[in-house]
Amino acid sequence: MILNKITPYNGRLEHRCRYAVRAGAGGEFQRECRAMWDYLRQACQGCVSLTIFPFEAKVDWKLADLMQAAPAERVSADATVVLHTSGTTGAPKPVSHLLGHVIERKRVGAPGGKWLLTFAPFRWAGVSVLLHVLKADAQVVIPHSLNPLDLVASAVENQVTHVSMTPSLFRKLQLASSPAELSQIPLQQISFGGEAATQSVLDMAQRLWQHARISHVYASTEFGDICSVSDGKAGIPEDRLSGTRYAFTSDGELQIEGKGTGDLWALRNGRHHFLGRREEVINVGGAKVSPLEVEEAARLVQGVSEVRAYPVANPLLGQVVGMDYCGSLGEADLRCALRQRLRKVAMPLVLRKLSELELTPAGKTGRVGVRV
Amino acid sequence: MKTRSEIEGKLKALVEDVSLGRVQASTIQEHQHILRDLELDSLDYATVMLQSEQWLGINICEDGVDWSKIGTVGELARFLESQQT
Repeated sequence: MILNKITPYNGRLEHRCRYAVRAGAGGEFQRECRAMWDYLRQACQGCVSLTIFPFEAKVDWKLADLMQAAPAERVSADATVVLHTSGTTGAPKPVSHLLGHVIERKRVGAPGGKWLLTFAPFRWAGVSVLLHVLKADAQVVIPHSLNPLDLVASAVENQVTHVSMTPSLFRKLQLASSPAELSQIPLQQISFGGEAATQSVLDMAQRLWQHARISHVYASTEFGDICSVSDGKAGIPEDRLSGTRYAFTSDGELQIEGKGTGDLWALRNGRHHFLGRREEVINVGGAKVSPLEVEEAARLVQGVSEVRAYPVANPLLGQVVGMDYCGSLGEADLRCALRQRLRKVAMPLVLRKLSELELTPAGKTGRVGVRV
Repeated sequence: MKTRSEIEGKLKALVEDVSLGRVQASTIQEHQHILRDLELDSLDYATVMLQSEQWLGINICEDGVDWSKIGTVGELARFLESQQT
């Protein structure tokens, strides 16, 4: 049903308009989170249709624009959340999830707990956490902002017990705080999502919070939560992505229900390991290099604190590996160290030392569209 | 702007570096083919090109470039020299 024909929803349309303008006007993080929390609570209780636009949406959205942009949706008794994908690989596109189905599929442990929100409320990860909290009858702790220092302060002050975050954000937290301070947070459950959780991330989290249950989740805005792994190992066991629902193309792209995910995987020793998004994997003269492989090798080098690897166009090879890093080590020394750790094709030919590496608005390491 | 002689000298040093000393800069002749005679692979060649770009402070313009005609040390030096303008 086209939005502008939903006359019974005129009143709620105004509600959505106000939310969209508020989000685009750069409102405070906490205000946005509380607004989303209220919407979701109402949605779970009754028939409320929500349309959420990304924080980067135009400030001057008009009603006519919203009606034009909103997808055709059948109004049903279930509340519908319509999210825009992050758009990092193209124009943002709307995806809808029925809240009833999402909540039904969620597996929650013991009720209660205090969850720290580390994702923006209008992204799938943020909505997923809020819905999880609702189902688990738990509390959500909303930090002042998503700055790592604010996150740690909020977690310590409120004695948070559960957190879901990206591995990149976890690394930022380690740079922002000492292990002693992080260990003060009485975490019982840590869920890594949004990016692949490497073995070093899982091991470090277990060292910091020895009694916590640590899992990593594979999910996407388009398909929602796909699977969760809690055995302490990186990658997904082969049998978790088997059956009629999943298939892999010849170059390793996962398809779910016949639709391509854009995610490339490699099967090794009975586990699927994430290589990267198709546009992030670097094709060096026909040889595929995962940026994660390059980054993990660089992180092992003393004097490197942050790193990101990405494809750089090259007239001879198609693409070569580019790498930005932060830390005390000089470029020449880093190249020397990487030669010991990386296969030749994975060696970064473009190497830059930066003062800081910012995460994307989704809390991830951005590897697409890096300008060199 | 660098002279062709300076560019050739730099290329020879880069070849020695990427070959990890297997090919000594002092032995390289301008007529030698980088891939066939000096036995570098395409990745090494790309490394030499990229590091030359950075040293010269240029971005190579690929429009209309026939890479099959830029194979020897001398040809590459002339090409890079022309890219400076």
